[in-house]
Amino acid sequence: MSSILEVTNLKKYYPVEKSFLDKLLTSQKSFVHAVDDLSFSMDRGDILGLVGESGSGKSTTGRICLKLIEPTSGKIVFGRAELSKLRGEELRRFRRNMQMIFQDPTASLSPRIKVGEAIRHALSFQGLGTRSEQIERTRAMLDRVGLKPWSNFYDRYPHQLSGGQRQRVVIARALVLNPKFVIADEPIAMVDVSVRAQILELMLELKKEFDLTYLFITHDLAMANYVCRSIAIMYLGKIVEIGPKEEVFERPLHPYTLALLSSIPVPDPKAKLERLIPKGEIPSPINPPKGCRFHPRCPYAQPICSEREPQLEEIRPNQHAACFFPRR
Amino acid sequence: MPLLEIQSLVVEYHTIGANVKAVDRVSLSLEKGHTLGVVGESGCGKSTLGLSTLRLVPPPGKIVSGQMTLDGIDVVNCSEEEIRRVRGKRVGYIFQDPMTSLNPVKRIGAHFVEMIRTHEPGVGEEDAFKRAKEVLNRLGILPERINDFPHQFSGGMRQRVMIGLALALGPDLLIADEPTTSLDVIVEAQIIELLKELKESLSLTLVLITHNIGIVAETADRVAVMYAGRIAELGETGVLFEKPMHPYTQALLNSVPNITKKGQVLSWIPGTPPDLAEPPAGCLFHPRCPYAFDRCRKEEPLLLKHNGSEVACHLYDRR
Amino acid sequence: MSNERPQGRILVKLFPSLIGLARRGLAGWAVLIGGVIVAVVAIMTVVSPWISPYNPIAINVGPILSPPSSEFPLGTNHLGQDMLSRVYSGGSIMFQVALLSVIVCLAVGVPIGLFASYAGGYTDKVASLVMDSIYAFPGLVLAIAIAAMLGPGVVNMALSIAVVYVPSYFRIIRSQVLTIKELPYVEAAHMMGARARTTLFNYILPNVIPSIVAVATINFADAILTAAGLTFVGLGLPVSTPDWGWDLTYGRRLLPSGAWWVIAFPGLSVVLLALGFTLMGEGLSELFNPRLQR
Repeated sequence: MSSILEVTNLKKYYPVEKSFLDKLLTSQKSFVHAVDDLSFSMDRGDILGLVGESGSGKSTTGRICLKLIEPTSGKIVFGRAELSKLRGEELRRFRRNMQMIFQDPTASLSPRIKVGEAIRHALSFQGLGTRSEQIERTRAMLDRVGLKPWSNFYDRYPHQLSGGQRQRVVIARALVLNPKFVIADEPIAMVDVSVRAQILELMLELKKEFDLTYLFITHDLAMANYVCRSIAIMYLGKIVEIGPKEEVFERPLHPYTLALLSSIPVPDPKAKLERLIPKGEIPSPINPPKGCRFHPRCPYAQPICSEREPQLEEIRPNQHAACFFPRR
Repeated sequence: MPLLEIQSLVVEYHTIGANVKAVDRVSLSLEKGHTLGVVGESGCGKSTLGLSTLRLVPPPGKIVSGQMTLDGIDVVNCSEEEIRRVRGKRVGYIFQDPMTSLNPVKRIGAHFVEMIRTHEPGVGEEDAFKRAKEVLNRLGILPERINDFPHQFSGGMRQRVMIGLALALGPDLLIADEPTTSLDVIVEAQIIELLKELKESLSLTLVLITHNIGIVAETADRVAVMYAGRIAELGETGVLFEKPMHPYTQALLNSVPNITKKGQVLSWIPGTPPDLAEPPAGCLFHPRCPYAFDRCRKEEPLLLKHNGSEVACHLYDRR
Repeated sequence: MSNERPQGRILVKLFPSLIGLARRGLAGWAVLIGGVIVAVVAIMTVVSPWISPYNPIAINVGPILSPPSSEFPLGTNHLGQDMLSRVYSGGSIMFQVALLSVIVCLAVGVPIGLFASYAGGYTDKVASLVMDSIYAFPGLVLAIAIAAMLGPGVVNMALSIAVVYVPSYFRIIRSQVLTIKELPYVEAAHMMGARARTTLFNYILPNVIPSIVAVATINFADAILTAAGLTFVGLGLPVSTPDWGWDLTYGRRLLPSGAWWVIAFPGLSVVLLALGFTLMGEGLSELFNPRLQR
């Protein structure tokens, strides 16, 4: 199994804007540690769920992998290409290999461009085929994502479609270039509950058909459980646990994972819920806690947790956690 | 006597070109101390229903017909003066988006003081502040934060402030419209626990409006499932989840992932919700219903009692 | 290798059909009514040579300062000129000046606004600085100052108005571009490998055009009023051309003697035309706003 994506020591720090007075009086710069020394890899055909709450850095990570944002430091190797070395025309053409499915189907489509044209633009910007060939491929893609017959949809504007239909257009646009790698950032969060599974099924079918590798970015653990093969849990810019889905969900190691799992609402009134809700809220990523970032809220914290930062270690075969006292 | 009783409520939005029935002949009742969950997807009318209990539906929306009694008060026909006395004092309302529901240029303390002194003009500012601090303390917010501005609070804290504002005057009924939608998972769990605890300690009656089936399963005694402005099914939580009757309820429950169920296969509902400006004839759900038969296409089903619950579906109507 | 440039096609598709306009509520009616007013005044001006009962600049066609009568429905001024004919034809210069100033603004303000705000950084800072400085001056005062420097004439009037108005275009475009730049669909364009030029013209510009149209119509209205103002202070045009501005100047002086009709009718015309444009502008900006869902 070849590795399709390898992220090593990825960091993204955003400088915090200071008021003029602060700039004069203090020389200290503060940063938002959006992504702090992240490393992981994905094999071809994998479906990895990057799970975390707000401020975890998951969206930023996704965007850095697609080179929509430049990292502060770190290395990303996609296939055999190192992303930092790609520029200009080469980068532009490289973009066909990886695409993104966005969270908000309404905001990810220009309201003034017909839906069919929006998809065709992907082909046109990459200079693939003649105009009529592009139109042909777009029509086929519309049919393929379930917007059948294409003639009903090609000339429509986004506001004339439902949320679920718009999301299909976004998927079609992402896949019409035949990429190998797709990052989906909360793809169903803004779609109606009763239609979500349909979009997910579509994405899984397309994965088989196009031989795709998916990186799912989400805060919805239930969805991640349904669709992903491996899970990486992020907290304040770091991966705290990573492993196969079954292991992470049934035998979680990191206390934060435990907390997340016990917080998920279960649509079953009879379910016995053992709630391990940590107190407090996610601290600011500008000044993350010293040592283990989760220690102020961790019910199992020991003195060492506030002094040293735990690294990701393989606790069980293939399952890594960054904790001094993993819950085995 | 039930604390809240709604009978055949109809709320319409009058726009140029179409009259949309956002709430269509909804009837339900809520006993004191109970929790009612109102679930449905976007556009089903649940938010409009919530707002209409306090006559807060924004124009061009209008309560067109029906009756609503809140602890004996006729909410639909009473005067402006009377409904204003009800708002805040008898009924607390938690609005949908805590990010935009707070005045960004007012300190948190000022929000509370304004609320308290509007309804109880005799209360001095000092006293109002004291009460505000008590409420905040109860909600897990440090009392010294009373002088902070909304933007200095995180999402979860702001939601607690909203809950605090809703409870500041000691209402009997609390209506929460999507109280956890914009919040992170763990914060959501914290807020739900908080609501449950407050319900107990303050003997609150709670209406929880949400599209999140999970939190309704956890907190509600009874559930009303809404579709396209109407109630599809209404019953006890345990019964509804175990043996859902309405095809929409069944389909909805099957489309929500349950992390405790291994090997679950999610399903979905094909098609899209109806355009309320031009609704289909008969049952509004029939175009998407796997069990639709002839009667469904012609006749609107009524909400009728069946096995202890209420359901609006011809499958259960033996007449 | 194709690089899409369908701006023309996008422009054509943008404008809603007139029939649909009335259905769009109050804003639609505003556009319709405003449009009708402007159209009527425009047509009136164009056909004025054929419908004017007298030559508007011919003097002594009637008694001096006679009030409205059957022979001279809008009266005559101190030179014995027929006010009706002057009202018919007085708008022509205004239209020319307004049109020219809008064209200049579009040609200058739009590209600067687009490129500077898209590029960001120093380009944006410098452009903003320049524009804000111009914007800081009261419009009419600045126009007068520039017109005084350039001298009389249609082109110069148009230029002075354009200079005053370009910052408004710049600001509106800049605020729109800055917002749109961050939207997911622009990100998506990047994802697809669009070049900066393509993104700007295919994704950003079409979504900015509605606000440009709104500003342009208000610009028209303002230009009309400023043109009248410039003529009023004697900086506009040679007296021989029939122009509402001149009528306002003289009309004002004649007012104390009781000849209200000299200022009233041209004044009303100016206001009406400006109103028409304003209605259109306000209506359009309301219509083109993102659709608000229930």
